Amino acid sequence: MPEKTSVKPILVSILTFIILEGAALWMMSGSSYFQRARLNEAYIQVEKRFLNTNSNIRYYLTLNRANAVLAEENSRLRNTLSKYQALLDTLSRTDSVSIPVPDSSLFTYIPARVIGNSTNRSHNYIIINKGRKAGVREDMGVISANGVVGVVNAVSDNYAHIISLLNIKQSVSARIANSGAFGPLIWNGVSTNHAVLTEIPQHIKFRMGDSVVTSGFSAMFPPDIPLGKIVGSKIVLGTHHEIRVKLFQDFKTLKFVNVVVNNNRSEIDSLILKGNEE
Amino acid sequence: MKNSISRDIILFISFLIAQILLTNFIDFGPLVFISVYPLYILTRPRHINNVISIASAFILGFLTDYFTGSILGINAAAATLLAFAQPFLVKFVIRKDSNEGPLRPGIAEIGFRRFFIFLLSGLILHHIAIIWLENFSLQINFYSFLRILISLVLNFLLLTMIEFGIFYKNLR
Repeated sequence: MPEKTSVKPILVSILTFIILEGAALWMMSGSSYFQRARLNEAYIQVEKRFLNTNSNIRYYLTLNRANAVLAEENSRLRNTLSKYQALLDTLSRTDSVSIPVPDSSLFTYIPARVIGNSTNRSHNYIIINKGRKAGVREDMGVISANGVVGVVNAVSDNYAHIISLLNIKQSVSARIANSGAFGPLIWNGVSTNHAVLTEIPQHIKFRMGDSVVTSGFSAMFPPDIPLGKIVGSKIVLGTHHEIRVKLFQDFKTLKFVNVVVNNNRSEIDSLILKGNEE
Repeated sequence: MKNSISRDIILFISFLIAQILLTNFIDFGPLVFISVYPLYILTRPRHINNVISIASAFILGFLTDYFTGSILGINAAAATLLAFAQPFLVKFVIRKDSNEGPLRPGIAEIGFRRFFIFLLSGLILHHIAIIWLENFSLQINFYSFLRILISLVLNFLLLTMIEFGIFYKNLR
């Protein structure tokens, strides 16, 4: 019989089976309270799971907006925090007479979203969706929740161009959190997850896993932003350490950043200019 | 052809009557449920259309439910499952293409050893299905397990005797 080998009779018999089993279950639910209760229970569970999945999908689809809102809120909180930090610094200085606390602190933050990013070249750049209108200027620092991202290079009305930390020309003033020794953190162009902290004197002691933070000596970045942790080191030319740092920031998944605004930038710059002239 | 159909109908009615008599007139206690109709479903000749086989099993189970006063549909569901699984069991036990194999998977055709495995696997399937449908959950507690085990032994002996006494002897 040739039709024995085809799929159709099998499908038909499976269909018959399912229909008849369904009829039997229906009869059972009609004749026995126990089975009816259990069937209702199962039905409710399926319905619950379906609704749950539905809401999960909805939640996932609205995550974009939620992220934007959270980034907005995060930067607002950072602003508040730095204000209070400045207040605390002033208050904890016992030797000072009570000076009026400035109403704005040293650093404020502008939240932005990354719209262009590269990690596969030796000169990597990032583009964000905030520009001159939002208050972004050249040479401002850019950070994310996991560390330093880069420095603003060029600004248009609505966008800003950032030299990524993953750029062999870019360096960040960093220090080892425990010992306080500082030096430039540069990217050596090898791995997107690692950078090199150089010019640390040979006598400085540190351990693997020590964290590296920003020094705060440059006017671009606030101090003590975590950058990464030490994973290896070697001594170069017998004089200083070259420390391999694993970065906390994964540049391949970078999405939201904050532009750091130093409110006293112009004052510091003019002071430096004046100092150089003399 | 006509002969085989009338034979099938007579078998259907006699299994139904046997099932009704055994369940209604003999009290085996709560740990045992006697089911005779699995033998009819398992030894359906293989040349019968699957749809007809499943549908007739459903009707047989439904009539059993109706006349024995159990939960309406429980035997129907188990019988339908058994009829659906029967071709796969035949293939699994006999390990031959069903077209070449014997028409009726009984002792006389496939031998004692294979028939025992065939009957036992079919009965285990049927009994577990019955217990699952009765408790309406996939868990089997100790009481249900005991019930499956005792019923399995008794039904296996009963069906083997029926097969041996009625079908095997008559065919020789």
